[in-house]
Amino acid sequence: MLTRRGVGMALLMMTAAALLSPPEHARAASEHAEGARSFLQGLADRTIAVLNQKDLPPPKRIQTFRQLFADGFDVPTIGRFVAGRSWQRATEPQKTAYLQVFEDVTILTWALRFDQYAGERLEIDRVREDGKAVILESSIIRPGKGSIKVEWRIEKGKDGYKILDIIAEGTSLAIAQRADYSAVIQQSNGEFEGLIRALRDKREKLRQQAKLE
Amino acid sequence: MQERLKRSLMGAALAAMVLTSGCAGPPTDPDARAAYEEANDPWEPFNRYIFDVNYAMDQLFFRPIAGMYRTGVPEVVRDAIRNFLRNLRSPLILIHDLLQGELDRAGQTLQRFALNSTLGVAGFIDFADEVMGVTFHDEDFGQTLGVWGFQEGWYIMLPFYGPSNPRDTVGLVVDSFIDPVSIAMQLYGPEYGPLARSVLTALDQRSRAIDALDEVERTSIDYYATIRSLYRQRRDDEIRQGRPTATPFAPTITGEEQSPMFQTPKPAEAPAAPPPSPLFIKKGGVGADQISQRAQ
Repeated sequence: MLTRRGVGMALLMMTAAALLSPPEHARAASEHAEGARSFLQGLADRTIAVLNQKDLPPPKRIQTFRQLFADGFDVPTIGRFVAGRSWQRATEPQKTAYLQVFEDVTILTWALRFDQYAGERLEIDRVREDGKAVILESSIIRPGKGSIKVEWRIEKGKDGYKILDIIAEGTSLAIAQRADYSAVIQQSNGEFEGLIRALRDKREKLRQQAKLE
Repeated sequence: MQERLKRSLMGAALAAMVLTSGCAGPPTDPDARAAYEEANDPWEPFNRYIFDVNYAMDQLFFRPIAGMYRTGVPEVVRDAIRNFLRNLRSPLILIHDLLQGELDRAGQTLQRFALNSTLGVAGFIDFADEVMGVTFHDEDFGQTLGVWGFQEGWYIMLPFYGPSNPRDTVGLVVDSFIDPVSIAMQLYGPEYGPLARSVLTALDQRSRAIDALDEVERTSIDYYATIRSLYRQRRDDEIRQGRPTATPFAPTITGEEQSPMFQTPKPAEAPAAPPPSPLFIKKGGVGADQISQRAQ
């Protein structure tokens, strides 16, 4: 019932928007999409340049990733989304502690992931808009192994364009992580603190792996 | 023989689930309840138990064997085996393309089957993809049911097979009956055909999923819950044939998550929801979110 009314409302609003919006709006919108595209392409180029510097010592490497990551992703927004519904109940110190450890874990995860880099390339195939967000449909071309379909959800905030979600072959990383974190909170009797503790353990493990490799 | 074994195991699993389903009900706390509905997994304790058993078996037997297969058999041979298995599946995929009313995709499947069975030397070479650019896509009866509007139902962890739900489990059973190649093998042999095919399919899929699954396990905190989300999202995407959702659920800078994907607790059953926070706006909707080892 609620859903149907919601869908009806959305359709009505979309129709209204389509009828009312002047052509300039359309031009502005495609400019927005173009901006997102050059942002992502630039970020990919910078990342690949770092990945090709094989002689970079691990601490320096992680530091560079941290910078790239801060430029590319809206960590607080993603962190808040994946924290799930418990976010609303968390205290301010808990939120700060969580966002810090979340950022560390995410960067370490990506740094380790990139260690397996084997010459993949990013090709942006299509751009579509979804409300305020721009979705860039891309293919990650793996030499000799076919390609993977990856979508990048990008919005423009006060610090410019930021990635908010990565959807690989139809699976959203943010939604999967939200499910992961919700389960962790649930297993710790609904305590947000349980998630922070689990993330700190994870960070420790990832740090050891990053040093070993 | 082996198909029958698979079926009776599935039956036993379903029976066990019905027996244990009377356990913990939904939580009363609104946030916990919303998370519970998002997970769509009322049989979670039982499912986690099966998951742990599957995981132990996998680490002890399946993953090591798949690893030996991957290192011991050259990539060219493994790719040829995969092409052959995919070609054997084509008639079944064609049936589902047609049942789903996807005529273009049915045409692609037919073209692939005709070309690969002949020019592709009985399917060992994916001629259609390499020369014509007609890529492989998979279908099964679970997806067809999804296209027809059947909801997934509750999440189920099947012994051996892994993540599923009632819709996809029905699909699995129905597919084992209607697969033209299975029927042909039962009628005309070879006798070892169905078993060899199942073993090779399992080997192929597990070996190709080694890196992806290791990565998920390494990066997640709760492996079970992450797999559950990935499976549900993946299935949902397969049913939409990879087309974008009309109602995505995603982070947004403004904090107004578009969340038509998950149901909010019904007022009659749960205490009133807390006043909407500026960070989240909850909206109602139908749950339909999914790792498919099958996705290559």
